[in-house]
Amino acid sequence: MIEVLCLLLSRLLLLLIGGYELLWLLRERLNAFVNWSYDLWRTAAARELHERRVLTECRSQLTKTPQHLVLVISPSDHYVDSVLLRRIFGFALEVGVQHVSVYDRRPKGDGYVELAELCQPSNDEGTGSHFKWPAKPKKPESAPINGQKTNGYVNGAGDNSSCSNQLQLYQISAADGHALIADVCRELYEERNSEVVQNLLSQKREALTEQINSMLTKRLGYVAPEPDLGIIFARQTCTYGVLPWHVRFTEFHTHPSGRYFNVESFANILSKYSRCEQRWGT
Amino acid sequence: MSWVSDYRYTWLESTTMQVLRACGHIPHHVAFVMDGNRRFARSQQIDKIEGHSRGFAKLADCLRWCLDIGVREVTTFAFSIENFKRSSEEVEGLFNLAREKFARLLEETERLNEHGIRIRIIGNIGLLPQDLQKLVATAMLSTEQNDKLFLNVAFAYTSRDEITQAVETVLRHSSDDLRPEDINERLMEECLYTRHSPPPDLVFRTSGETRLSDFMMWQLSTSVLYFSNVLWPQITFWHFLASILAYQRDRWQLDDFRRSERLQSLQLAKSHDFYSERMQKFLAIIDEDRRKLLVRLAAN
Repeated sequence: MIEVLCLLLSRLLLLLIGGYELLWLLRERLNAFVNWSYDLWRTAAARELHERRVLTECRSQLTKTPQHLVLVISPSDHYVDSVLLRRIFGFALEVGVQHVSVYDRRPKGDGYVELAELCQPSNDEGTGSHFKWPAKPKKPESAPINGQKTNGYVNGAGDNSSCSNQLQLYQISAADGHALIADVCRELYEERNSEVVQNLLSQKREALTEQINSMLTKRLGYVAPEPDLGIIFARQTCTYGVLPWHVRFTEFHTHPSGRYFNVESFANILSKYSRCEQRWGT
Repeated sequence: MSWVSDYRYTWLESTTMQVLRACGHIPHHVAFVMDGNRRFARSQQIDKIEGHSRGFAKLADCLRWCLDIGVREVTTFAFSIENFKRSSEEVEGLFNLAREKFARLLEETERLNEHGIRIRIIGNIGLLPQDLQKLVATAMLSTEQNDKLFLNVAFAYTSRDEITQAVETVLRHSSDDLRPEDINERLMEECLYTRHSPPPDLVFRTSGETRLSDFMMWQLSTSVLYFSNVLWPQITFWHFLASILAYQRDRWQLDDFRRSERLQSLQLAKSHDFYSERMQKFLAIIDEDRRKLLVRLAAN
């Protein structure tokens, strides 16, 4: 009797969850439509002014700014497109983020965004997945915008005034994860009888860790620190295999697929990141 | 305090658990990042080590909940290599706690065998004090025949160290049987400490932090990550059930991704002769070497 009751309750629970998910998505899409319409209605200049105001205020309250932001886009996401990515790059540049990696797990032709179509390739030697955005650096602004004043706070990750005028962008693929580590292992194995590898094996394990790290960084064409903040665009939180070697201390925040992403969403994530305490094991 | 507690469920708790079980799709493997022991100790104005001890008590409860709800493998992050940076007093206190718990585990081996619980310590055991190495190795050997619930305790562990260890294992392989073209992510996976475990379905981190702190970075690429604001010693059965429910809600959205990853892994294995005698021999040598090391440590 109890078993039948539990089975019925479980079906009811599943129905409730399904219903809730559907209502949630409807609400978010409706909300997104309203926001999108509002953005369309006001002029681009008015929207940009509002965004700048929000970001300036946000920046003044941050105790630390991420140096490297990684965007993880789930294979089933339908809402992140090149327009949204451009806006996020703009927000990131405005608050002083220097590096942005984009990890798009959608198949090509099914929403996948090629950074090469949005940005200028980097002149640095790289693997062809390193770009700069915008193509021409913006002139630095010295005066506060619209009378807004920052409180002069210097962020944990450096002085805001030293914000770069160009973002370093990296397009990360699935092949940059497990497969890249295996490639490094293969390369070391091919040279296993060399003095360098034998020397590494005779030392403490940290020496080999350092060697793997530098080989991975070289292969990725990274001139960036490890990502400190990650935004996952998905209905659920999952890393989808993004850079297993590099994202060990990255703070992940999930932006549910279907929810409208605007400057407030970005500022909210930065505020959460700023509040978290990184203890590095101590 | 035993490794598996005698938690007594209320009527409501046991009914809710049965309802969730009836929903189906209970995660096979759950990984816990037990964070917040020290913050809990501070908030209660008790000693840090007492905070860790209360945290262990919660682990025993969690194991009971996992066993009863149908989870078959549990991995817990007990001590990171980064934690060696803490004060020597705290590190020593943690080691003493581990000594006490592993000694207790050896006393209750019969009970663990009765539940079919196998203990595996994943991590760089060589970094631990010798007496603790011996205890850990003995605990692993004395439960190695069990196969109902696997408890992997990550001790002196970081993911980078684990991956480096996997690379080192390949490089130290003396025979020329292994060809460079055999080395791929499928083989690397088999050289990790978690060689005999499926990837975690659910990763549960307490204390409100939303990072993974170098825990199972290789393995959790298809896992549902669940972050809770509760401090580990304050975790209750309801928090645990909430994570299971979140998994049941989110799992189906990851199914396609998991399937395609599995398929890719199978294709890779097939195209690189992973199932060949040569490769399987290499993997058998890894198992043999690891067991020999445990026997040696236990005999010291």
